Amino acid sequence: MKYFGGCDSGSTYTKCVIIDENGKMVADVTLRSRINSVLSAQDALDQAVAKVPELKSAQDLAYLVGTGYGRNKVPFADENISEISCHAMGVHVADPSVKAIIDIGGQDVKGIAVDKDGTVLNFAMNDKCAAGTGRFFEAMARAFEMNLDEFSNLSLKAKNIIPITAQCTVFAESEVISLVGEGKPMDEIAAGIEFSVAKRCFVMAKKAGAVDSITLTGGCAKNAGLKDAIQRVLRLKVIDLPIDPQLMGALGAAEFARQKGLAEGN
Amino acid sequence: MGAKIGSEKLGNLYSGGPVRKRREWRGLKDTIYDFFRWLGIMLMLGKFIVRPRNLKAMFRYRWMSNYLFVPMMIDRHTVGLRGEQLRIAHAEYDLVAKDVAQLLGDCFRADKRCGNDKKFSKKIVILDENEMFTIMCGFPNLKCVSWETAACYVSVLLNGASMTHYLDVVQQMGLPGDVCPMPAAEAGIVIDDDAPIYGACAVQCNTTCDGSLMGNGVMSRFYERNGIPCFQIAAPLRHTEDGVQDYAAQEIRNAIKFIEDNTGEKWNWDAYFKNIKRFNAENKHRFGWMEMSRTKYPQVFGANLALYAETTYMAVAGRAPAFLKADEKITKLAEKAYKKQNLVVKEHRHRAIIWGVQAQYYTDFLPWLQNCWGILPLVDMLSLVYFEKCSENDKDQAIYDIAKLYQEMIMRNRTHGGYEVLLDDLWRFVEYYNADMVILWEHISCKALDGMHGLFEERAREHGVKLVWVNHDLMDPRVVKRQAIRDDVNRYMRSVLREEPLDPTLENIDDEKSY
Repeated sequence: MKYFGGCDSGSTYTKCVIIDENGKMVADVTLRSRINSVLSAQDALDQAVAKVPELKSAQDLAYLVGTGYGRNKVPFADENISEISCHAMGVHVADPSVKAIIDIGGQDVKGIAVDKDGTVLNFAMNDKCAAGTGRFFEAMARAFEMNLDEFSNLSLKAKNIIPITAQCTVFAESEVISLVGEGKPMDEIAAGIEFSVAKRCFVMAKKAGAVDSITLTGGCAKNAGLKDAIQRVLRLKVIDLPIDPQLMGALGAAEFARQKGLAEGN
Repeated sequence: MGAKIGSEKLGNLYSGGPVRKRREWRGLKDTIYDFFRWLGIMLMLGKFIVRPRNLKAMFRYRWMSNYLFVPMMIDRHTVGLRGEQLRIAHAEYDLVAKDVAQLLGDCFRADKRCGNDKKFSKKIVILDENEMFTIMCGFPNLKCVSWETAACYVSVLLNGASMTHYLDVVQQMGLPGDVCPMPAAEAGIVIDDDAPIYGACAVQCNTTCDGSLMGNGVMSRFYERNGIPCFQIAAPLRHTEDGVQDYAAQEIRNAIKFIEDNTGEKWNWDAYFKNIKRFNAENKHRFGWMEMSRTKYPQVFGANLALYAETTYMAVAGRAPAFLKADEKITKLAEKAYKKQNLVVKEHRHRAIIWGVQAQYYTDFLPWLQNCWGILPLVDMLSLVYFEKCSENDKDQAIYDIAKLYQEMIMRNRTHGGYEVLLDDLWRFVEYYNADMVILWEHISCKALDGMHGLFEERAREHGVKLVWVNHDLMDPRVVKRQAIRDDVNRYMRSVLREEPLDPTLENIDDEKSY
């Protein structure tokens, strides 16, 4: 059996996926990215390889594709492919019915329109501002003195939404601290935060050409409060993926590796 | 390595430092030609610097050091070119360089701090950088000298980072950091006391945006403090409507009277019509080049068309015979190349319209598009200005023509006048030029385009046109780096079109420090 790898070197997390020649996912690893993205990628790959008994080292992979923010820092990859293409392919592998994606990563937000074969039809991205990204949620959770999981479920209990007017991460944090200081209900403030991000996603989804449904990828896709807010703001059905949405970039990279490796006879 | 187009891997020429590793090898004939043109520019530069007042200016004004990079700027815009294309580019750039040298010479001759020629200074009218110079066509004994062009507009073309100091200065003064960097930098130059002082009077125009109004306010105060009276032409915003034309014409009459009152010169109709005939003839050449771009073999396009057309149309406006001669030469070369069916790069993959306002710190982005991805920048928004012929004998009509030129000058013709001129016209040009792609400059500090994003996307989908957004911050490369500009295209070409570059060495280049 031949195995193929995909390594998604993200700004916050590094993900690695190994699939077999039939496209079945046999190993995955998600690690917090270190300052040295080469070492992060190497660690993730080594850990993923260790989960596959038939593989002794990363060299045994028939083909490896690097992707993500630091994809050019995956020197041991056979090829590097943009994270936009990989997210589209990953989602296509996980659920071929998906036509539009919102990928909320650690440092950027992307809207991606997917063609029927998993290729990219169009995309839009914000990589200039931290508002609406994973970093934004980290800052907000910090202001609430909660971890991300606690924070993401908090807004689901809210009966009202307190609008957060500041778009900037730094100013939003100040605004949130003021609201907490005023004694406003925490869940309602959290709902306001989720809605402000959902509105940002709306722009990306429309630019990418989303019509009736979308799916979320990236670490923030696990945020239940955000998913709820997006459904309400965008009035689009959010399709849940059968595989961890944070792995979509790495899975897409692995699928590209499989296609290329098999085509080259590796 | 040989003369063949695409024979050089152009990315390999970048060293990561301020200068490239070596000159491009274009084959013997073209390399020798290019080298001697380069030598000519160096000679012009040398001659300019040795004049005492110019040398004084070199040390007095911070922005003057950027002029040492004129040869590099021309190199950046001729990269990859061969044969007639190379000669067309040199005909354009070498003349523009000469014209700018003349502008600087006049500027420092009159400047209180350098030449201090008071008599000469009294014959100068100061105009904005982004303003039609047509109003000076009827004053043959006066000079119009725009220090903004010299200090700001050209400086940033020569050295992308040249305005960052002035942007910091203007922000330290308390002006907001998110306005258009062009008027902000111009205001910064004044605040930093780095603008030459000369002129009998100044004529400003409500150019394109709130930022321009802010900049003009700072500058008019500077003029008046130095005893230079200032007039502001308030051209109408809804320039496509007939109802505003009488008012617009009256503004032009008022401006002419202002110049007459402050210089003692009288408007001369013979001089005006002589110049405007040349202006019409220059436009005819430009239209001819743009018509050629509808075919499979465009010859005068991209950055070379944009920069040359801006100079000829706005700043020269028929007043310098040398430009018409250069136009004739360019047309001859273009026709010759067209007959030979010359390609500019080895493969013409996409035909693109360039829309929006270009990054001033990266005008050689368009040559990069050609060389890296085979995307032909057929025409740009700034070159698609005023297609009407100005009257060559009717005095009443002439005033209306000047008024119309002011209302529809470069940029203003698209940012004002309603959504039709910005949005609808784009798709007309896409069809007219048979383009399959639009490169949409997104100047992140310019609010004029921002409201239109969704509409552009919608229309692109309707037309089945590939729309590539390219972010930049006009004069501030610290906000969006050159590689980030290229990455917007790289990402699209690889993710959506899944194409490989024509020259892969250009996809990622270390040119942040290069001139």
